[in-house]
Amino acid sequence: MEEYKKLFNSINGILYPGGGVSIISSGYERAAKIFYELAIEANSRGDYFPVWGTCLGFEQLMYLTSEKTILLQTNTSGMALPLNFTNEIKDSRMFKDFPAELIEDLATEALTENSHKWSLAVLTHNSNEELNMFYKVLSTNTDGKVEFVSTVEAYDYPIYGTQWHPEKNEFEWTRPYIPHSPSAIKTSFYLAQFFVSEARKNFHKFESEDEESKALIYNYNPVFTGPKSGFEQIYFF
Amino acid sequence: MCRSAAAVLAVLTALLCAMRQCAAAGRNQPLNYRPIIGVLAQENIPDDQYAHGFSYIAASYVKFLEGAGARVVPVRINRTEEEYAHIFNAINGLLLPGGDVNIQTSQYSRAAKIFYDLALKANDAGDYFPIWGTCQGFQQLSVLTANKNLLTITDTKAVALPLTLTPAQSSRLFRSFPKDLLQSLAVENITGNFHKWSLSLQNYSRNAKLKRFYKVLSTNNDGKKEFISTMEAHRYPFYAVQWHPEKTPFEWVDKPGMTHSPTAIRVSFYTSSFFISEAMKNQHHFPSLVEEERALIYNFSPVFRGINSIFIQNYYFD
Repeated sequence: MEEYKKLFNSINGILYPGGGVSIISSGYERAAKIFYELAIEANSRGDYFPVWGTCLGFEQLMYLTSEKTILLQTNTSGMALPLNFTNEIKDSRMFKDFPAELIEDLATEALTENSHKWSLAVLTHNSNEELNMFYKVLSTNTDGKVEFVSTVEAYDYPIYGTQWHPEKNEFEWTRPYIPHSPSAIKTSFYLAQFFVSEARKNFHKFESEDEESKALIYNYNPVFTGPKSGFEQIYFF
Repeated sequence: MCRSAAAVLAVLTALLCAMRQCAAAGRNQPLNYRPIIGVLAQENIPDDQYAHGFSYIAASYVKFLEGAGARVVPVRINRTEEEYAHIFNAINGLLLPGGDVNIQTSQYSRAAKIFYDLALKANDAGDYFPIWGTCQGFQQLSVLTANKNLLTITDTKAVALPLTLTPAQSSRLFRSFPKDLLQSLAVENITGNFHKWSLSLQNYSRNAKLKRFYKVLSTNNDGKKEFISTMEAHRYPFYAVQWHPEKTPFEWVDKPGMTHSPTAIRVSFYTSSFFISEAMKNQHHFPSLVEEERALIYNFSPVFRGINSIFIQNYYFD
């Protein structure tokens, strides 16, 4: 806990990646909860600290906020979809700086990669007070049966989540349903740019240059796992 | 009467097409959404304490390309012409990085010339193959085209500058940039210059080969001399910048000339994105998936050279 607190006060944002571990009880969940609570507390006293959740990370955030297991199974493993934007994107922080053509492309072309078995149904979100008071739904999607939430931003905190995978468009090449068109790449860039711009509002830093240097991921080398897995490269720790 | 008019029209159209590179662009072909770009390695810096092997590639060039949707293959020095021809026919574009080797006598320059000649030939035959040159790569291209070294010294060793965009010229590169970004480029100090040498506007203008081959897209001034900062070939998909778009998102040494402003990062992305969209017009591919996998840079691990190094990570090759 102390280590996480120290790290929290050194970094300017945190990202919860996708994956397949338990969002109720795992090492990932425990750390996610600690950082989530630290972030809520920091933001509440004016220390702007953004959090991003992708896929499992998004589901993790939903669990942390609602404290309930509320996901439904959907037929969404391995396809690219457009986004059904809600009216809320007009005033959204996340999409504010997106070029109009890119929003248009996102709404009409299959630019968002979905590889998840579980989703947060729109109905569930709307009927869960913790969730619908906390998160603004920016886009939804459907598997033909269930309408689910695909993009959110918190009303009062710099907390963001996508059920889909923006990072795969530029960097993952092992699955044919990952979109790589120029619009798909632009989407990834603009989202990453947005989250980093949120992190620029935070002024945490490492206690020393030496500590910063030791913490950076440059110290680690990923393994080339492309030929055997859905990830080109994985950092193992 | 009708038939000869049609023939004349056909010839005229063909001429127009040739002039506008219709055939070369492969207009009717679908785009290649899985582009692989070769990045040329160069001889190791003599007093590089992190070096091993003979050559290196700064990781920022790799990230620059990956971040805009391409995979990367390192192109080694000291290979035969046949090996280079084989690689050329497998990749969709080539990037000539910055550095500090001799652009007329080094192995880097030898390989660059081989690829340059292959690319000219390919493009002439309708096989669209783009080349990108950054800093030393820009300079290398100028030497290859002019067949001589026309660079002169400028006071530009570590300074961030805006670009003096050449007016009323419609360029392929900058046409892909949002208007507001071009406006920022023209006034903000967001292009990092780390070069001792430059191609002056004067030397460019006085050399028929350079003038005929390249269109000047932007210039800059060191207080004494006007030099070319961005250029693209008139009739080939060759692009060159004297500044460093790859450093703004990926290099963190704290020194003059380095900037990480959001606009600078956007410029970096749009620059890379444009080059990769050019590479998407090329349909080359590796003869087999196994060969492709073996060639990719994922097989190599870069070395962390410290947060105060001019290159935060380098790939080294034997």
